[in-house]
Amino acid sequence: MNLSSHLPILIVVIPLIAAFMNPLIGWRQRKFCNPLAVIAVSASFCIALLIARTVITTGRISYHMGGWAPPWGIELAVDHLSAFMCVTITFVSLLAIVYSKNYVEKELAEEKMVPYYTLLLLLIVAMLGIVVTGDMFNLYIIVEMLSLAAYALVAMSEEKRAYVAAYKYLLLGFTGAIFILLGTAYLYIITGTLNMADLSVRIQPWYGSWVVFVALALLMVGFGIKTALFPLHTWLPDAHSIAPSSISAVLSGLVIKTGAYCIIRTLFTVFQPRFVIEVMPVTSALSWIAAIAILVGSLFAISQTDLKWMLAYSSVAHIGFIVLGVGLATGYGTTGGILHIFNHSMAKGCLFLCAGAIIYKTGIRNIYDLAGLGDKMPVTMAAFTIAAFSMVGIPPTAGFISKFYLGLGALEQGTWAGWVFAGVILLGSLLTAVFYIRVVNNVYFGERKRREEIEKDEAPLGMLIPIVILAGGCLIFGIFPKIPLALAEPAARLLLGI
Amino acid sequence: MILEFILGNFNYWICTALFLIGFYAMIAKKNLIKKAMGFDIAETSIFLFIISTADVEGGTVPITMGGEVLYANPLPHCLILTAIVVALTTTAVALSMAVKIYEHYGTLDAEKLMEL
Amino acid sequence: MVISCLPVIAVVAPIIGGIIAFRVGKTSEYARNLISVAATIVSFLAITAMAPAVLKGKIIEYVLVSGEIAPLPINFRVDFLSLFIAWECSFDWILATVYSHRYMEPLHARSRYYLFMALTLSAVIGALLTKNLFALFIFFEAMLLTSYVLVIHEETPEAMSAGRIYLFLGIATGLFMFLGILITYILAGTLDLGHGGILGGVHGSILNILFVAFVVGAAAKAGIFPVHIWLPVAHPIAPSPASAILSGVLVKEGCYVMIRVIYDVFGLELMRTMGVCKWLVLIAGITIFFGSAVAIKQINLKTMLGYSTVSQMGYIFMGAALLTPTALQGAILHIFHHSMMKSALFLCAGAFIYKTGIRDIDKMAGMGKKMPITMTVFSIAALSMIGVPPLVGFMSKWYLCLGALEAGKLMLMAFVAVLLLSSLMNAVYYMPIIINAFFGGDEHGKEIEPDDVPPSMSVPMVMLAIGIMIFGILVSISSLTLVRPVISAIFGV
Repeated sequence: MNLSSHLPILIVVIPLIAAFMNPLIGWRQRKFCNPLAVIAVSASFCIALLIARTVITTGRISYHMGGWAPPWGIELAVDHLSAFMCVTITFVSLLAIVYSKNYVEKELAEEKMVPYYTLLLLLIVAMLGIVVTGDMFNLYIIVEMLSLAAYALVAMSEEKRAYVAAYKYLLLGFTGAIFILLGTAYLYIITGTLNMADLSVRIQPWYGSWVVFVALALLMVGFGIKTALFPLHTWLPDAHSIAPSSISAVLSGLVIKTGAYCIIRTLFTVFQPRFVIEVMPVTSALSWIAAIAILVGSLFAISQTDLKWMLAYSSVAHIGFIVLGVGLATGYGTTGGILHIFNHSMAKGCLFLCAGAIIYKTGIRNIYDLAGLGDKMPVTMAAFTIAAFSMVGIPPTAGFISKFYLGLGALEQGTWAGWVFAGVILLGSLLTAVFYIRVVNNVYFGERKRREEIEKDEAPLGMLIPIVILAGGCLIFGIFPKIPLALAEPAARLLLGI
Repeated sequence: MILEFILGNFNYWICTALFLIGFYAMIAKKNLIKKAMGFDIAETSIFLFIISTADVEGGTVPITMGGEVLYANPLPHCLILTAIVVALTTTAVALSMAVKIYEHYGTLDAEKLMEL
Repeated sequence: MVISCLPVIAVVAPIIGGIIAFRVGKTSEYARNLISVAATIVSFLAITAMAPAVLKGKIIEYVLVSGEIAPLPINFRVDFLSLFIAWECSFDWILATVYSHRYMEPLHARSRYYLFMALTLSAVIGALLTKNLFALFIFFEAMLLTSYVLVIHEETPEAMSAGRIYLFLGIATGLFMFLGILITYILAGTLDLGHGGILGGVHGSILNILFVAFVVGAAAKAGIFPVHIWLPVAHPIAPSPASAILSGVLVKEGCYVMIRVIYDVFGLELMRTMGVCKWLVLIAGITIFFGSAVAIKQINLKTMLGYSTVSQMGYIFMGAALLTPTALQGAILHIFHHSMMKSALFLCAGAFIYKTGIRDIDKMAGMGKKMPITMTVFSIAALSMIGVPPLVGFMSKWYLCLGALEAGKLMLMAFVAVLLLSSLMNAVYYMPIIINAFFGGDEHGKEIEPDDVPPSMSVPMVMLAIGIMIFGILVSISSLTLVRPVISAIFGV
């Protein structure tokens, strides 16, 4: 056995080791924490790329922990969707860590630095663990690990309401965990297995039973809380807007996406597409909920005046786009939903990092005070503009491609509901335009007098580079969308079995 | 018949009752520590539920001594052991946050905290 | 078919030129002005260089982003129709850019203005030369955003609120067009233009929905009633050369898309069987009437010109929707002719503002003696608008009349009624300006010193005026060599 066959475990273990080494090193010398985290996550990023290549060429990777074959042993299963998520997670979180160096030094108290990096690494480990595991109970444990790290990171903020927001997040997150555990227990009780692939086979005789129905409903509610799907989103705006901006970027860009990943896994791997589409139309129920989420999230975002609150509510709307795409359960739609995970994590990551840079330099959080920042921080605001356009779906940014696929997916359904969803997607993108373009407009135009005496005062390079890379990604993957689609399209096809 | 149904599934009833008590405490109680107690009770009810399903009538401890032995399913016990650790950690985080909240705001009343 | 990268040059040259001009603008205004004109001229020459091949009946194609890296390819396809309109657009752009140099001098943020002028040109040319609707939509959105910056250039509260209407109405109606594109792709599996109808074999009410989606998208770009509301607000508020290209060129994009949708997406046969075009004719008729009627009571000259544009776009839509060869010929000619007339009028309005600061119609008395060249150009363009032969405005309307006759006697009568009424109203709002300017305003017998605009502003205007006269007289040549091939390609006559 050579090293390359251990890729699925290495991607998780390397940052995990780094997370435990972090306190040891930070105890002696605080300034080594950031380089350690950067090295560990870069290694994971390289492994993620290798995994992606392997999956594209040879298909699904199955790694048996300790050499025990499933269903007795624990299996790490990496298919196209997992590889796609691995690349997304390592890419955005690497940039968030690079960004953290300057940001944390100024925005957080000095003694919080070591735990910050430890928890952030654990958060990344947990996200990677969720997407590579092939075992339902493992999934539950790792989701909890993710949530714990996230609670603590939110509480770490210097904002006044940090603890309250974190406690609220914890209460709702824990409720979600209870539902997930109960759902998993039901599945185990009727099938006697926890391996996802094995479960999907053994559960088939039970289709139509109430136990399966309840289990699926519990899992959907549980993951729905973790992913902040409307109407279970109430914790999100608090937690995401109060967390330190680099953490907001990871939370909004990645953590809620892992919840969406769990929903996709449960729907299409644990249960069969045939079951969730036809026998028990969970997908169409999810689509309707997601459609409401898009509209409500956008409307709430419009009414915000605080930049980070606005971004947080926009996440509620865009989780709606992702779940809607998944729930459409058509080739184009699910591709669009999966693609939007990547596109949205880049754009939202970039936006939160920009918001962090703005707060870092000026302390401004109100969107009506941003006038003139286009001259003061030209690079940051240019990146903000590109990312905002990507959120709205203006070509040639990446968001346009996912909007295109989502729209095609909705129409591909060919039902009247499909038309409604297409309308919601377009209306959602118009509403998104309202609040993002308002900000861009405030930044660049109007109030000429206040702009006259502005000096250029840009954020430090360590913060600018991640911002520029993410904004560049929004553009590049909009012009060359086949790169993410190389994973996203087969992922959707394999999941739906078409 | 009905009595049999109730008695035969008594573990389910107890778990359901515990779960509802815990869930009620989580939602209705204003004190943050009582909320934490509530979700602990709810979680424990699920642990009990899963462990009770592992029981095999007439089964013994799952230690093989050679030969055919009827034993209880050991896997749920292992799972719950892990889950207990998770629950414990979450409770620890929740309580330490409650301490911090009390230090900062001087209250643990959820309604007063929401007004901040 | 010829493969040539000339379309790419035509699209990319303004982008590069604009960015260089923006950088240079911080140090030297003169160099920036020169570069911005040069970029426009390069684009114009690239389009002109395509003319010989296209005139021989060939089609120029070029793949910019292939279908292997994008979900749909971004490629160019230049035929008669796109070349003709693109040529005229880029020529207008040169004149407007030259005109801008003096006009923009007192205004702020000039470098930004030239950058976005160039970017808008690039988007306009791109939209005209692309092969498929997907790429066309991309250029459309780019055009909306870049022209938004031109609209709000003044950054006054009025400009900002006008810009908001322009932007959000543009995005909203753009989504209708996006919906149309999605439906087309689902139904036809392709979005390529130039096959004369890609929706063959599709039936049912979905076609009507599709048509409405496209009409809303295109009509909003063209300023057709009832989605015209942005036009009379946004066009006048921009700096005058920008108004000239907004009103002269950008609205024509909507007409171009409408023609493409009717003849290249649906196809003639399908359009005739669906029978929805009569509703479009009705809307166009209402637009003609409405635009002229509202223009009469305007006080601000540029707002009046904006409403006049609304009315004239109605003619083009009507010509496109009548589904007869001569009517389409009239519509395409009117795209060409109207862009000359309206650009000239807006440039004149700009000249008045530049020299005297006068924006209101009732203050223009005596202007003919003070600014004789500008006022002469204005008069020629206005007379052409009213439809005085042998100026261009008369000619395109003449073809539209013939086209209406082809569509039936009843249609002709209705059209002639609308035409006469509208022309009458045109006369009502243009003639007083001209008469007052030349014969009024000097009750005191005071001699007014002629004080006209500098040559860099008057030359573009005069060139447009000459164009209005020459193409009016030589209309048979331009229509035969340039427009007739388009018609015969579509109708096979």
